[in-house]
Amino acid sequence: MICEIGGFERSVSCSCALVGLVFLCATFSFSLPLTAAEEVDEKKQVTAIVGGTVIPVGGPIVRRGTVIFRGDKIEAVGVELEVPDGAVVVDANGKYVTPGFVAVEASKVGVANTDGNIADSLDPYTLSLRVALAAGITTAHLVDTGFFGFFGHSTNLLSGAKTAIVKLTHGDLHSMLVREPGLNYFAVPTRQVELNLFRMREGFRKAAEYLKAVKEAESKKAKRPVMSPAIARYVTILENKQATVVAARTPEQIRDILDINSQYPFDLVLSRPDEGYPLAREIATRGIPVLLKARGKDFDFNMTRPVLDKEGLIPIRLPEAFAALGVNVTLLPYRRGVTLNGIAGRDLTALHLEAGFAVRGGLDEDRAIAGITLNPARVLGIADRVGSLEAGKDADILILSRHPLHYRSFVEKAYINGKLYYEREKSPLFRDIPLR
Amino acid sequence: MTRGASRGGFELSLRFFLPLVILVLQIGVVCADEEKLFAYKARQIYPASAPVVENGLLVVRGKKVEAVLQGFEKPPDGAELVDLGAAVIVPGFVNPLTAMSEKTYMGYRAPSILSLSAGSPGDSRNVVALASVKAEEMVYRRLGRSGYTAFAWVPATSGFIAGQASVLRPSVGGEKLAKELSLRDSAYLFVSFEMGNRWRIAVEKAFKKAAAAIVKEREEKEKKDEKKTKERGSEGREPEKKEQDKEKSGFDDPVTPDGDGDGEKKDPVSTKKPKPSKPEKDSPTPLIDAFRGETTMFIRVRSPAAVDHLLRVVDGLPVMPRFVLVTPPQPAETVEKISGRKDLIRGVVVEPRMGTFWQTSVLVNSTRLFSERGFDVAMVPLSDTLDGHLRMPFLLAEMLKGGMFLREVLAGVTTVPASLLGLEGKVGRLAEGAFASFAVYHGDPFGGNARLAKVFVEGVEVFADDVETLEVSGEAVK
Repeated sequence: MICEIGGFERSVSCSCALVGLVFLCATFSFSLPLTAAEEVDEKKQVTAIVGGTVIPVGGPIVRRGTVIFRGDKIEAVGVELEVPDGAVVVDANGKYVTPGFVAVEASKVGVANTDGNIADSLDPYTLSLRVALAAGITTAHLVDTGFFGFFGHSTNLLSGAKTAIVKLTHGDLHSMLVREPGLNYFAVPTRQVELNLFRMREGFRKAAEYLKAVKEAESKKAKRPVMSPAIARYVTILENKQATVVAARTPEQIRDILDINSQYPFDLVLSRPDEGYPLAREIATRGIPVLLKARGKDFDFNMTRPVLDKEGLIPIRLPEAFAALGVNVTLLPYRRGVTLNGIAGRDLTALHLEAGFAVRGGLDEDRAIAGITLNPARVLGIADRVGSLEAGKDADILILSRHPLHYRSFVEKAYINGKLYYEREKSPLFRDIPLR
Repeated sequence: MTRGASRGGFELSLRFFLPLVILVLQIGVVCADEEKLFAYKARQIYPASAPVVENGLLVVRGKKVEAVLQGFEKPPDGAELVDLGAAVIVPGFVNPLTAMSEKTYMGYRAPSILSLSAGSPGDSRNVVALASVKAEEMVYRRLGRSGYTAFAWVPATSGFIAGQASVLRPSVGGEKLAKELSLRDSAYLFVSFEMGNRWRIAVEKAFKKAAAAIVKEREEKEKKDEKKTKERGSEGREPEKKEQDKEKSGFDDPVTPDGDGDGEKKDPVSTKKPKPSKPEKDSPTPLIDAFRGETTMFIRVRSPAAVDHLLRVVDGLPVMPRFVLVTPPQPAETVEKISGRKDLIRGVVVEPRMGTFWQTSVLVNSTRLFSERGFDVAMVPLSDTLDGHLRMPFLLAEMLKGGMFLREVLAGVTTVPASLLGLEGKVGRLAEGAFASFAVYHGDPFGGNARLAKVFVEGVEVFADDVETLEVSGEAVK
């Protein structure tokens, strides 16, 4: 809950009270609700971010560029653009301007619980949301990870996990939800492989037959056939309303799922194909995006030996290796949750550092930034709205103190749908850290 | 035989007449008690509905307050003067929300009802708190020493509709039936709203059903009105004629229930009172009553996000009555959001404690913020126990320190909760006609250092500490 209740301070000095009052007034002025007339103005309000180094992701980097947005949409991005009369001018001289980051797997961010669905449990006031926003994440694909998700655990997600795409609009519930469900999740068998693979293939076969029967019934205007609950998840995948993420790590698992995907087409996303480099060319040819960690495990708990021994690549090399073959690479954080208790820097808030690690592994900077912006947006199917700075897209914009991949870089301002939701100077999260 | 018969006759007459005689005597004693006048002399009296009276006299006749007099005026004839010395008289506090029971009231730091989970979204709308009250239980007597003289009990059920609250007073001793303690059997409907899909579905379903019933009622009423208007139109000049006849005779039309006469002169024999717009027999449920505005609805939320989710549900309804929002301290931005919805929220019940401004350690008194934005703010103890109620004056002192005005603080535990419970004029104030339920404090009751010395419930002293020795008795008087 946002309102963390403290004990009673029986004696508050006058000076403290005065400082508090001034601060309250300052913050009030920022948080006062808008009247109807002001809301109308807000939709028409033009803002121009000028003088910064613009990394639009969809195009070349622009030095001393300008980004103009009207209301919640970007109007123009370029050099020496004419700033419209009455526009609010934000000086970004010496700073970097990028699209908001997109986290494709986030756990317990801006959500109180997951009782039935995510939309009814969204909490725009949570600390995790504020921290993630301060780290530059403006859009997050929330996944319900159950109990272990509390620790930001990195195990594969279960089939049928609840998911939703949200924008991290702090304090604004109505602007949060983009879509629910987000992506489908499907787990390939890791135990009793032969038996479970057979069951899985049977499931897909029955689901395909069911969908065929539904189609026929619709064409004949007959009664829709009854679906067995056992094939529900396969039907969901083959209906293909959203892409399906499959965590297939070994070449055998990847081979199996690729075969199934050939037989029963659906939008497939491979999650962490850590040992899948031998199949990378086929993955690239078929246009299947992959989700990768630049800082994956160098040791496998089950094998107790370095992954290099398994004829694989070390994790830090994977993004570059896949991207070089033309695979759409999305970078995952080391942990899905916001966990500041001692492991800061290895969680969702270090998403831009993950991209930095991928660069250390050989990936070029443009692709690394795309790995946390446009590529995840494509995977989520919302690339028409977010992921890059292009005219007509949502004005989800970051102003950063340094290059986004620099370890000293901090988000100065974060706009979502054209509205300023985070300002480093006014937020106590990072304002005390001197910029160097 | 004769002796036996006469003995039998005597027994018979004893059996019939003795209870009657006792009853008459009791009534006589009661009447004599009711007529007995007391004048309590105190350094200060807070009537709650009027400015503080210095050196005042509180005149009590039987159960009711007769007057509050200023400047140690001469007590009325026949009044027994009770000199309370330098004590301060305050109206008995009113708790708009409690769920204490015989088992829980003695706890030390039990959470308040605002912090408790509502469990699963069940519906107990027909459960009335009074039904589970046992008047002889100790909790109702012990609460007499808390300084509170009226409590709105919600049923000990959870769920999204926990049931109907009943307003009770503390026991003065000797009550056998729950009804004897009751000030109002069904004061409001208590609804909890938690975040989550199941809750949203349950609340939306119930609210939509109730709203649809109201919409249907209104449409039917509109149709009836339209029909009436048409009928009148088709009758031509007849209404005008009736008007003329009325003017001539000086009486209302005795047959027309909604005649527009001034009502001063009515035929005492043939005038029929217009029927009140009562709902049909089979339709009313407590929730529909609440949507119709006949019953107050208290809606409890626990987090700022829950407020947003609640408003989202409520905004999707065709009709929504004004309700009382029950909430823990909220951040300033949520208070702002709520204050923009006064069309929906008629009052706020809060815990008088400080919260912190988001992202900071700056303390925020959201109770004050609610008051400043013009809400009727009622306050509940932080702990739903006897101890929690006894600590209330200290919290009120904190609220004063936190920037609230004395009148706001006093109203928050007296007149506002009384008004939200539909008992204004009866409890929570010391004015003519109100119940003589009050507390006597030594020291400033809002200074954080006062001692509760006496408590009176409907004119009966239910608690007293020894003023001379300042020893705490720890027990109710009776």
